[in-house]
Amino acid sequence: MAVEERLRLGTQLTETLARITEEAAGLLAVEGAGLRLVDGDELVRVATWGPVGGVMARERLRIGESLSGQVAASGQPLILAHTDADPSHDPVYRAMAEQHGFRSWLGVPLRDRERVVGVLVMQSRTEQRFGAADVRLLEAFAGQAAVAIENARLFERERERRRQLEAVREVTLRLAGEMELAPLLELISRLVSELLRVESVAVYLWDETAATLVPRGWHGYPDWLRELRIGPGEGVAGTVAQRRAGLIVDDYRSTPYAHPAVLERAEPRAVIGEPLLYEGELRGVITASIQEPDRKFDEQDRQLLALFAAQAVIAIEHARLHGEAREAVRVRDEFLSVAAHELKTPVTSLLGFAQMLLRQFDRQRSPDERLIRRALQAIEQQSRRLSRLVTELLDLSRLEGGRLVLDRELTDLASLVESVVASLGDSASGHTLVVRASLQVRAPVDPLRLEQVLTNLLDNAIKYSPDGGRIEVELSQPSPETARLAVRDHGIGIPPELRQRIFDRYYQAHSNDHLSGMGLGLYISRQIAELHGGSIRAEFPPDGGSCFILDLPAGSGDTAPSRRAKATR
Amino acid sequence: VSAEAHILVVDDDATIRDLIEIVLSAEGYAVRTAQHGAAALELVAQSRPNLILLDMQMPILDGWGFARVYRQQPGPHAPIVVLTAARDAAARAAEIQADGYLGKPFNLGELLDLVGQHAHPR
Repeated sequence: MAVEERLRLGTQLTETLARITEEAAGLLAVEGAGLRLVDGDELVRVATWGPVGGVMARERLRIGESLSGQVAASGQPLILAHTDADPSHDPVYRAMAEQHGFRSWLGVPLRDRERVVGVLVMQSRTEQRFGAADVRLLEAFAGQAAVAIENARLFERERERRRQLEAVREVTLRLAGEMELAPLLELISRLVSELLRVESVAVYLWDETAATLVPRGWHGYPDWLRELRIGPGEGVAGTVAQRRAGLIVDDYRSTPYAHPAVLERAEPRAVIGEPLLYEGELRGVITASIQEPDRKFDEQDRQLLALFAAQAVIAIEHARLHGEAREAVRVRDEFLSVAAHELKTPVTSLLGFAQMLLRQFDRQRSPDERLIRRALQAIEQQSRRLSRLVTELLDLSRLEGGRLVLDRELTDLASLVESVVASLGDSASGHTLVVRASLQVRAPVDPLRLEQVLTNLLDNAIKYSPDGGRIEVELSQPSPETARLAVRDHGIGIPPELRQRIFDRYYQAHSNDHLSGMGLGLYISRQIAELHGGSIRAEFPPDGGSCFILDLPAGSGDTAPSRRAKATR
Repeated sequence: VSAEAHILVVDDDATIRDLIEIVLSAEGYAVRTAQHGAAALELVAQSRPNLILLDMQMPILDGWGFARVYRQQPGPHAPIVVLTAARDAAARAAEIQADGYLGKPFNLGELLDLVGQHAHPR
């Protein structure tokens, strides 16, 4: 059984070899026959026929050893007229032949084109049994036998491939039921370990922004793998990612693919890696490794892994989309909860101050005029705040539906800045506002929308400088085509890891700090800037705080036609 | 009316702080206000309130953080009534084992009832 496994002999091939041996024995009317095939630098006994199974005592012979070995080495037929004449002087053969009464011997090579692939052996109890005619007959038969063996091998290979496809199809079905990414990647690792019969499997996903492979699912690895990060070209996984092609490394520890972190903690002998490609894009890498010293990966393993990887990446993509959709719903829910909270806050004051006024009039002969004024001020202020929140919600809805339309007119930006700053009133009482807007810059903008953006930037600057401090507003013209508005604060700033998302819808960098707002301001501001054909970006000066820079096309008196917001989804 | 009862109002919204302060002062309560949990901790260190009206979502130190630190301090502790615009005021109150809760927006009558119920001068 071990031999058959080594030579990849399936039942089909084993039967073919037995039949060839038996037919050859019948053809030459001998009492014993056998067949050996070449395996590396050895001959392996694969079939015998006869009352004592011929005289093939040993399963393996080196090429050149004993009679069959000499035939394989020379590529020439060999006739032995009687036992004593054995040119190889093989004592084992001699003892066996004498014990079973075999007297003469004939062996011919089996060839696949020029290459010797085996030896067909005939044994007779008659001395001087074989002549030139027997050699020619057996050689002709051996020629046909070699073709039959090759066909059987091809058939076996095809059947093995179909078996692999079947195995892959079977495990693929098990992938389809898992929509959660983390358990899916673990399942993939486990299935690969079953498919390739290996101990350790790791699934890395490609992190586009960090340009590294991150292990996200594994089987047979201890937890240190979690911390491993692999750049393109590093180790087996990194090389597979870079080449976008599978790789087999036989003697892992002595190759340049050996990763120091892996060498330190594990003892892989052979490693195989296959990229996870989705529509040509790299999504990750699967690697599997063997610790047993005797096993190696071969091309068949690689094909099997490639077949599986092609299916696995589809399942990964589905899980990712599923996760994204669920995240979108979660973000929406979260937003609704934040929005409700934000709306309830001014309503609390409106209701409270209105009820306070009613109590004043109900209870007291002469209501306190100072309190009435205070209540009405609060009601006015909070009504505006509520109205602003509702406007933001409507803007969001308009932007998403592509219905936000600009009403442009040639506007003097300096006076626009002045009027926005003036309207801030009490909210900036703890801050020092420095306005540099002496420049005469006119731009075709929607003045109300631009006021909205600038108000939002200033509100943020105030809100995120809770301890007061200087806030600078500057109007400049870096080029004749561009008008620039910059709002700089010296407040708490934004942590580097959160900066990328501040212009996202619903996103609040400081949501954990419970500073108020719905997370819509910068998103809406960016959309408005872009509708104007401009842009908005944030800079974070080394001495703290943030600087938001709004660039708008300045210029000519020609009012560009209003552009409609394009749908964001 | 508990004339001498001392109420601490903790809320990050200035208008709501004003509202509660005006209403409770008119009823004869002594009111102090803080705009977040950290400022409130400073106030409770100076003088012991008889009742704390606590918003939950605040910058610097939120309602959860305040309640945790306050309860770790040596007693006696004033009852805490949660005032929140969160979806589930009762659940928020339960999280910090508050003595009562009121969802925003609230009626002044309800506020005064709750305060009357929990604010007992010592």
